[in-house]
Amino acid sequence: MHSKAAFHFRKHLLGVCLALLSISFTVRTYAQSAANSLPAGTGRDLVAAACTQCHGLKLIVALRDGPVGWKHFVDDMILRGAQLTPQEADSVTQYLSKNFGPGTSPMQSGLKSEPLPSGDGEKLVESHCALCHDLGRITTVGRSKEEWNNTVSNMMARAGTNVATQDEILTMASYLAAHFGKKSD
Amino acid sequence: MKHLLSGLGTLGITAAAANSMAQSLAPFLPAAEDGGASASSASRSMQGTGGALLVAQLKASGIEHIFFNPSSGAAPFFDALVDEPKMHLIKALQEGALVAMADGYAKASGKTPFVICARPGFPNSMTQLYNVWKDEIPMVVAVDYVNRATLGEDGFEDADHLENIAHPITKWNWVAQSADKIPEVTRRAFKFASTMPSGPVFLAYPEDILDEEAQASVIDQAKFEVSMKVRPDPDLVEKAARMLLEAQSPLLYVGDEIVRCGAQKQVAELAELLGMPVTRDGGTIGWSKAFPTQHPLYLGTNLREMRYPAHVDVTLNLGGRLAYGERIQPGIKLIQVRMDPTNLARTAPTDVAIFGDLKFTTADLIAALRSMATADRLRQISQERAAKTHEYTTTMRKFRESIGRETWNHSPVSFERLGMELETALDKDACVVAESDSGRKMEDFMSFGGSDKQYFTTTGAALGWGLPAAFGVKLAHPDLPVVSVVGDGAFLFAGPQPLWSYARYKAPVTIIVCNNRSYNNERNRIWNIGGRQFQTGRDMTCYLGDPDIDYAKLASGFGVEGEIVAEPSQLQAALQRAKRATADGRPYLLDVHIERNGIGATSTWHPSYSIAELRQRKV
Ligand SMILES: Cc1ncc(C[n+]2csc(CCOP(=O)(O)OP(=O)(O)O)c2C)c(N)n1
Ligand SMILES: [Mg+2]
Repeated sequence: MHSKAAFHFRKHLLGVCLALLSISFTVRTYAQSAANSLPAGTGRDLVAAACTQCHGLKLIVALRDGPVGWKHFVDDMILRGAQLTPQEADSVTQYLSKNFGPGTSPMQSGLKSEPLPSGDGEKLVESHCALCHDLGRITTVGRSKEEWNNTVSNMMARAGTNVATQDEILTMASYLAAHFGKKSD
Repeated sequence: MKHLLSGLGTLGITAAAANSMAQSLAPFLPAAEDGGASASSASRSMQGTGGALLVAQLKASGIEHIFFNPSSGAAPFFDALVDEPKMHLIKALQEGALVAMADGYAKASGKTPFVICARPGFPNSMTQLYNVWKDEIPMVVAVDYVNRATLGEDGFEDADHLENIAHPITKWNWVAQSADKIPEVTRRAFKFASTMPSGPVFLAYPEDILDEEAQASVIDQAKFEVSMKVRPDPDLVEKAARMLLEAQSPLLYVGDEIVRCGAQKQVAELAELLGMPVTRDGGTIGWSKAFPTQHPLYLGTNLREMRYPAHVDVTLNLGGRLAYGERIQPGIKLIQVRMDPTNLARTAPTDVAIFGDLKFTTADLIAALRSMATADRLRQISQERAAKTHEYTTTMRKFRESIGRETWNHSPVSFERLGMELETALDKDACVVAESDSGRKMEDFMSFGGSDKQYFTTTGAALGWGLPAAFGVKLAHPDLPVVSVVGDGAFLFAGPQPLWSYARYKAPVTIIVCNNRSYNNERNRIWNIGGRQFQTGRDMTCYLGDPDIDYAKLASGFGVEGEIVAEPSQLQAALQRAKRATADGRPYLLDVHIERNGIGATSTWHPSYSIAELRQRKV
């Protein structure tokens, strides 16, 4: 670029930068650009404004959790300093559960999985667990019966009441322990 | 001396006046002339080994406790202590713990502690020395150094320029050159360490000079003290006061120097005068609670774009680090007051940078505001603002309480409930010494600052500080209840061995190990990045169970009583038992099983690997 052209280009660039800067003085840029990366809906702007004070949104967008699970996260963040009133926190929880809840494009672990072996509980695992994540996360790991029970109970509790009965939880845990148990079990 | 006195007489100076002049001049006269006898109350000449000279100077520097781990090279120093019953040796079994003990002691007492350890032990002290450095805490850390005759020959415990490894995290380091210089370099070390902005210094005493006989002057430290109670530039105070007065939405930001300068009362008064909401650094940054956490103007952690109060136009930083310049949004005017001119205006562009004592500066700001505006106008300004903030903080306090109550029956116990139970159990004058990462949220349920509990932690976040530091706090405040709250991870970085010091020196402290069998918050942060561990749901690094550690048993091995608190319902009774034990003069440890929380918290899976299974032979 010739020096004169370069000068004009730089001047132009400077103008653009100044214009952008003046916007950034008036608009809350962080929150604004964060909001653009989230699905539309009530609560989106609150998530963008409150959550990005301390961390990015990458995890929020990648995670799947039920309404109880999302509420735990939001509560935890309030205790760590997030500035959301009770009504706002409610709205944030609802937004997150709706947009990143069970059934909304499950998380992909990238772990290859064989189809589930048949057995009592197979269908339950498929219909419950696979709502939030792929099966690779289950079939490539070994856990004891107690561990499976804790894991399944925790996930079902996070998904909300009445998602699975106590019997169904036990059936799933037994099935998983039988097929994906620990060597020592 | 006689010649001098008679000479003064011929000048028409009375004998009494001449005598007192001679006394004040005495430190500068040759020591031999007065036969080594004490010539003034502040200075005396002394003959002895380098070790004995060091002891004498430490005494003159006001040292009562020597934080130590022994070494043969420093034998003459320890020998000299045999005849000094008023100087007390406090031993730690690992040098990191030693320095953390001294840090707790310094933070609680405001004094400059003296630490001495073996030179190969010095690298052990570095994690905690780094914490001391980060918090600008005064401390003198010394070692016995290689004998000058063999120095540099790469012999026993000789590494070239050991003192240099202290360089980036000390204000000054020095190797004493001769026995007669020991008192002088020691005084200098104390002066450098304690003059604000204070910090640790490193001293090395070669073994041979600790053993050598010499004559030297031992002088009271007071003769080298520099008052840093500096009044601020009045022009800057006026400018700052005007900005604050004209601000529509000012925000006060508080930090540790308020505590160092004892300015808490003035700072609360200033906040109230203008109805300013108050914040502080978040996370581990800041070792104290400089503002009462239950105060209706107190918001808590400072955030990048505060939603409340909205549209901050002036931020006043009183004695805070103000890390992360990005937190000061463009357009916000920034006033900063610090005792540390180097770090004042270090990162964020600052409109008014005031160097001065926090107490004086805050008082001067108050006076300037009062001179610029009538009481009525000030009331007008503060009333509406304060009322709005009160409303907000009341709403949020109730909200936090309701969140906490929802976890009441969690088992293992939640940090929320632990906070509430501690708030019930602890006396108002208790000192809480905290090093618990995910446990920081229990602080939401407790009251600190003002007339409430004192709070101590470390900014540097080099774990292993909390357990020994609480010992140091108790040493400084034997008459206050002290509670050490440490994560299981943090506890293990300190090693169990500080428990030995607790038992040996009968330090009645309640030690609470927040046992969640995890580097819990570390896992949260790691998964938060959203990488493979998050995607696959595998915690490769942070689970601490398998084996599950029994901290009560561990304590018992060190002669400290303790118990496991596995159920939330047992907690209050256990806290009361701890209270009774400490009242009886004994330390007491509670191994509190705590809920893991956050992402991936329930999983106990961890990569398994067995060396035993690698074997081809059963050996
Ligand atoms: C000396 C040291 N080593 C490593 C770290 C990294 N680190 C940060 S937090 C953490 C785990 C803390 O675990 P714990 O004390 O149990 O706290 P929790 O999050 O479980 O409450 C580690 C290892 C550190 N801060 N300091
Ligand atoms: Mg832990």
